[in-house]
Order: sequence, then structure tokens, then C-alpha cells
Amino acid sequence: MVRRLLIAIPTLVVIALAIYLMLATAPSNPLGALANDDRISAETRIRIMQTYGLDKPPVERFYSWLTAVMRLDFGDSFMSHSPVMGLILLALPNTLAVVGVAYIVGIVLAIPIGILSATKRYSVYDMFATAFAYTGFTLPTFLTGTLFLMIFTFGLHWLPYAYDSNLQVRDLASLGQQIKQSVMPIMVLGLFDTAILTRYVRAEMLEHLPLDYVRTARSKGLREQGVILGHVLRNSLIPVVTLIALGIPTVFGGAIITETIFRVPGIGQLLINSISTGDIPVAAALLFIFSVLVVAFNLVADLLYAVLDPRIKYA
Amino acid sequence: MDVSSVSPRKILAIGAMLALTVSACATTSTPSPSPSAVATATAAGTAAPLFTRNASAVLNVLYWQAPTILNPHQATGTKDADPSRLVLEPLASYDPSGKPVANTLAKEIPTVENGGVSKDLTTVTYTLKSGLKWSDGSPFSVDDVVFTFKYQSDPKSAVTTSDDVDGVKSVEAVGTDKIKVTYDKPNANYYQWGVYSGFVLQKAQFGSCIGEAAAKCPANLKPIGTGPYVIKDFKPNDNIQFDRNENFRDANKPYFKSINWKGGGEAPTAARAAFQTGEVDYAWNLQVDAPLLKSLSTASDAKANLVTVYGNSVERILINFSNPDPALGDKRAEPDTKHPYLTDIAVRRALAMATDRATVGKELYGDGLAGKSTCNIINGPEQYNSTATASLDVCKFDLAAANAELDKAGYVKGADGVRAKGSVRLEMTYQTTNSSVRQSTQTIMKKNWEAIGFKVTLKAFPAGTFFTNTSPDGANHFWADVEMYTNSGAPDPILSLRPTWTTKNIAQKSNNWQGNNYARYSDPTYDKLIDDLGNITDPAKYVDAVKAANDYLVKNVVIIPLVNRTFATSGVSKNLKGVKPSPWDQETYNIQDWYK
Repeated sequence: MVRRLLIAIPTLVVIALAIYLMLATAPSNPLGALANDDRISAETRIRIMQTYGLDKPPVERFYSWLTAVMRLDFGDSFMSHSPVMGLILLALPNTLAVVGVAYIVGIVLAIPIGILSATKRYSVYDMFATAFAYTGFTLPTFLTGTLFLMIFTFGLHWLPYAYDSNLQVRDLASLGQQIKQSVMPIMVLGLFDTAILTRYVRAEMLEHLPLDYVRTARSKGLREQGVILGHVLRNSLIPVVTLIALGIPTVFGGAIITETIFRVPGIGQLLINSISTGDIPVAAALLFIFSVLVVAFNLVADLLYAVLDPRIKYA
Repeated sequence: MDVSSVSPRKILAIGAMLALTVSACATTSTPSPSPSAVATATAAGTAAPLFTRNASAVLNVLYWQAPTILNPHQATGTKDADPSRLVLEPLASYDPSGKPVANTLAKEIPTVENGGVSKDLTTVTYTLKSGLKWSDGSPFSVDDVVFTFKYQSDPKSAVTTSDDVDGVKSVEAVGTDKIKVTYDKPNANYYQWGVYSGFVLQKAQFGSCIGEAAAKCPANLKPIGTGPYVIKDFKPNDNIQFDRNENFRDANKPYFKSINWKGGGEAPTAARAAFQTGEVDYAWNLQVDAPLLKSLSTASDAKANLVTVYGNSVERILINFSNPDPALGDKRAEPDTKHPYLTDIAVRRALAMATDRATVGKELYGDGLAGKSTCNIINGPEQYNSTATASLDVCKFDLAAANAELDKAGYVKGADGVRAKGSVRLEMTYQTTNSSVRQSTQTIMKKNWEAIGFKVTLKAFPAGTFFTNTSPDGANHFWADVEMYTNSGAPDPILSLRPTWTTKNIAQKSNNWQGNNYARYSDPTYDKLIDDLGNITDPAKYVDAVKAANDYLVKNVVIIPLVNRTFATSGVSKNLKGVKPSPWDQETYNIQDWYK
């Protein structure tokens, strides 16, 4: 286990280097928007580049960035001139309220749908569930998102066109508003998550159902419900749980397309904006935090494996 | 009156997205000698006000690019500069006709006639309104204005508005209510610092934010201002909540109690939000697909009107008078080289006659939605718009006439359909920026030009590369035969006519391609026209001379104007009144006058 932790460190350094060099050599630059502004002369641009430290070679910039990051200092945004961490903390609650909730919705729906699909294999219900799952992960979010917006906002005028990050849920009325403004992105993302997880739950269940221990449990006279939930599900969930753990970093990564369509000012929008405006400190911080989470949750998934399945042991 | 040339302000622009470009362009002035500079607004107290402060009204604004910073001196785009204008104001603004208007801090517009502008055009003295207060209740003072200039002109502050202080010698206080701006030399653009520039910061708030401290200043996100609104809450990359400035100088204004300024998303859904939901009162920059915009804005149940305003943002084709042949090495496209065929007026006339600007305007700019075709290089303010060009043969699309022109000049079509005269083949490179509209325009132009015997190679570069003076792929180097982009002119046409085509301003290696005359056009007749123009004092004659210069450029095909693009393309709620975008200022320059 310790060895695995130690491997994670060089992994992260390499990832950090890759991220930083990619951003530093990307064609977008923080003065890209200024390039279109005739009020800004070349000298001004050079001066501003210098204040950003962009006149120094990328490797030197990387070194000072990495040493700052080790002190958990992600620097200041080129665009807002304010600490990157503050911008991330502004965006994170919105992402969690939408992408996070969608993920939970996906898990909550996928498990029962998957169980039923597996136990009633080839029934009409299973066919429906399968059709739903394939629809869910073949339809891209930009399509379902735009479609929802066209129907429920611009067509029926039921739901707002944008997500209001200032809304605070205090009572039923504001909870209703929160549901109204987040239901579409949650549905779009939840549909996708549910679809994928359903297939996994179903496949794992099907793998376990014909096994000997299931027959033994039945022959002991256990009720079918007890067999399915107590034995088959528990064993089937082992890979599903690790899969869910591995998916958690994507929640923090936000959802670029869905957030843009529904105007949710979350991490996804922050990332895409920072990349397109060449706001290197913001983009680098987001990508780096994201990779830390991926590495960390890989470790968590491994640990979970060991906890859930006593046969697995790490040296 | 000898007025020396304007500071080398770039009157250039436009990027990958048609969107990003527009505003923030015209920081310049009215014709120096014309008496047009008369305060036109603020008939304070005389007429009955159109509205008084409303106790609860909320204004919903949607910019599909989210704001990131609210100090205009650190702003990197319209998305930041426009909302900051609600708080931080210049001394005066430009109205839709290009005239300065005293709707902000100055009591009246200084002119030569009222003595505010010195006869030699080196000093301008603004008198401030009396009793001005900052939104925190503290008194506004001339020191704040002087401080702002100091802040802006400190190179370490690294402001994005530093061009506004270029050539400004000093900004000083005279007494307690006057500001004197002194230029290094006579400046035809004498409102350079003061009108739609020099947004005044509060010294008390920004005093410790000058120089290197400017970048990391927390006040950049929540400046205290004199404008009609105050920032209640700002979430960068998301939204701004404004409240009314209770200390605003006009007791009746502004109308709205608060403003909900939402940013982010993309243009097509912003357009739908404005026209279909009624949840948005003002939606910025809806330059989406023309047919979609048309159907949304003209629907019978549309909740908003489409408001477009034209300034002088002309998409044009520049013709290279120097030789961009790479074989010339260091001499490539230097002013002493001569283009092998584009210096031949017959060839240029043929190109102009094979230019189908009507189709470009109709198909690509929605025939008035995002722009309309034009054959003038000066399209505004209104009085400068020449009508003489319409009847010129070079302004009419006529392939047969273009072919005849080339036949007459001795260019003969070869077996491959490309014309040549001796060893000079009509092969050209046509460069512009990456943008779907521009690439479609290139396709239309190429088709017609190839039909008359040219061979056209198309090139497109990212806007950042194209508009960089040191870039070999840039507009300044102009290492191509023709190139296309938009110039956004100032209210005074001489500020476009002089730098862009006079010999003195040729972009070349020795000036690091900083001159604005990228075409390397050098013509004593034109130079004289412009010198004379600078000496005209009679406004009517000035207008005629501007038109003559415009007609000269068009007739001799020094430039091929294509489309006059809209300055603003906004969705404005049918209930919202008082919106009057000025192509020479920001869309929000008069937000204090908006009401429902």
C-alpha cells in the first residue's frame, strides 16, 4: 500500500508537467481577447505579458508554479486578478448541486433498474430498461440538453433559461426554485450516469445468478428476495462500487457541455473559459486538482476492493 | 492650423469570433475644427423627467460571455468593460451621432469655441459637475481624476487602457472643479483622454493599488464609483448583482432598484432567452445565424426587439502595393518594392468589379442583421456617408466588365484559365482570420475572382496571430497579396483616413510594422488631400473633403469595402425604454437613462 502511495507522487509530478507544458504551449493566450481590441498597442501587450510572467521560458514558469502548488498556492487568475482557489470555491457548489446530484440520482436509479433487469431477464421490463440504457448513453448531452432547453424553456416556458447561483434554499418555495433551475441538467447528466451504471449492475448480477453459492442459498430455503439482495447483490456490487468511486472525480471536474447549455456557473464552465482565454493559472489548477482526485480515488477504489472482498489483499 | 499626426493608435480589429470584436473600439474624437462638440444632453431640471426612481424594478441583463473583472483599466474585453461602466465613469461619453455628450462627470463638453480646448489643440480643460459624490457618500474630487491618470500612466500598473494616456503629457487639477489635460503636441484627437476613456477610480480605494500592486488589488472586483449603480455582489465568471447608487448625482435616476447581470452560455440560447422567454431585458451581442435571428426577432410573440446600430466597422479587402514575394528576403513587402500586378489600376478595378458584396451582405451578414454591404470606407457618422460611390463602375458587380478590363490591359488567359501578362501571372494569396463568416466570404470572392482569370490561394490565421505586428502571418506584415478584416473607425473620419493610407504611416520593418498603412500605399495626391483636410475649419467643407477622400480611395481601388458591420446587435425587451447604443462608446454608456 505504501508503495502504491509512493508511486502516486512521481505520477502526479509527470501529470503536472504535462498539463503545464500543454497549457503553456497552447495557441490561446491571455491576451487573445485583447488582440481584437484596437485600444491596446503591442507595447501594452508586452508589458502585460511581463506582469503575468509570460516572458519567461515555460520550464522556469513550471518550476515556480509547482513549488507554489506544493504550498497549496495556485496563484492568481490572469483574467480576474484574484486567487484561483477563490474562483474554484465559487464554482464548486454549483457543480456539486448539479453534477453531484445527477451522479447520486444515477446511482439510486441504476441499482434497482439493474437488479430488476437481471432478475427478469428478457422480460418486457428488461427490454425497456435495456432500450433506456442504450438511449441514455448513445444520446450525447449536447443533444439532450439542447432538446430539453428548447422544449421546457423556450417552448413551454416551464423552466428558467439560466441557473441562478445566488439562490439559497431556505424554504419550500426556494427549494422548488432550486429544483426548477437544476432539474434539466440533472436529468441530462443523470440519464447518462444511470444508463451506464444500469448496464454494469445488470451484467454483474447476471454473472452471479447462476453460481453455486446462489443455488446453495436457495436450497437453504432463503426467500428469493433474501437471495438476491443478501447474496447476489452484495457480491455483484463489488466492481460497481469501485466503478462509482472511480467516477467521483468526474463529478468534481464538472460537465463542460451541460453547464454551458444550462448556464450553470460551475467547474466545467470555469475550465472551458480559462482554457479559451488562456487563463493558465486557473486551467492548470483545475486540471491538476482533477488529476490528484483521479489518482486518489483510484487508491480509494483499490482499498474498497479489499474491504468488500476479503480475498483481495495488498502487500 | 497645423495638426500633427495622431498617436499611432491602432484602428484595426476583429477576431476569430465576429462577436468579440465590436465595442471598445472607438476612443476618439469629432473633427477638430468643426463646432459639433456641443453638449447635447443633460438639460438638468428644465424638462419634466421621463421617470423617477422606482422602488422595486429589476433589470435583467444577459451577456453570454461572463464578466471576470470590473476595473476597466484591467479589463480584457467588452464583457468586463461594459458592466464596469455602470460604476466607473469617464468625464464624458460619445452619443450615437459621434458627438461627445456630458452625461457623466463633466459639466459641459470643452470646445475651442467655449475656450475649453486651446486653439493649438494641446490642452483641454473639463469643468466637473458640482456636488458629485462617490457611491460610498464621500465627496468626489479633482484629486481622484489626477490619481486615475497617474494610475493609468504608471507602466507597472500594466493597464489595458494605456493607449489612452499615450501622448498625454499631464492631467492636472485647476482649482477644485477643473481638470486640465495637456498633450505632448497638438492633438486632433483632443478628447483622447477624458471622453470614453480615463474611467475615474477612487483614490481612497485604489491609492495602494498603483504600480505592481494594481494586478492583485481586491478593489478590481468591487470598485467604488460615481455611476448609477453600485456592485452589491460579484461572482467572477458568473454574475453581478447591482444596486442603485443612492448617492447618484441625479435624484430621479436611475430607474431600476437593482440589476441582475448574468454572464455565460452561448449566443444562440441567449437570443432565444431574449426573444422567447421574456426573462431577459437586455441581451448583448446576438450575432447568431442570420436566418435564426430573423425568425426569432420577427416572430409575432417575440418578447424583445432586435436593436442594431451602425458605426464605421467596415469589413474590407486590403490590396498590397508592395511585393510580398518571399524571394526578396529582407526586402519582402518593404515600401520600396512594387507589387507585380496590383499596382496596375486595371487589375485592381477588375478585382473590385468582380466583388459580389451584395451576396456577402445578404447571405453572410443577414442583410442588416449583422451588417449591410457598402462601397464606402467611411460610413459614419451619418453626414460623412458618400452617395457618389454608388454609381461608380468599381462598386457594381459585373464579371463581364471585369473580364473586359483585364483583356484591355493585356492580361491573357492561359490554358489553365489563369491570366498572365508576360511573365506576370495573376496568382494571389488572400489572407484573413479564422472565422466561419470570413471563410465563407473568402469562398465567394475566390469563385468570382477565379471566374475572371485569377488563381486564388486562401489562408486563414487565428485572430491572435493575425493582429500581432510582429507576426509574419499578421495583417501588419501583409506577406500576402490581399487581406481582409474589419477596421472600426473613430467618430472623426480623419483618424481613419490619415493613418491607414498616408505615406508617413507605412508599416515596415524599420518601424517594427507599427504603422497603420499596411497596404504600403503611397500617393502624393492622397497625402495632400489629407493634409488639406486637417486644415479645413468650415464644417460643411470638412464633410465634403472627407467624402472626396473616401471617393478617391474607392474609385482608385486602394481598398475594397465590403460590409458595414453592426456595432451592437442586442435583444431589448419590448418594455425597456431609453436604450440608445452609441457606436462610438459602450452599449451601457447611458444605462442611467434606461427605464420601463
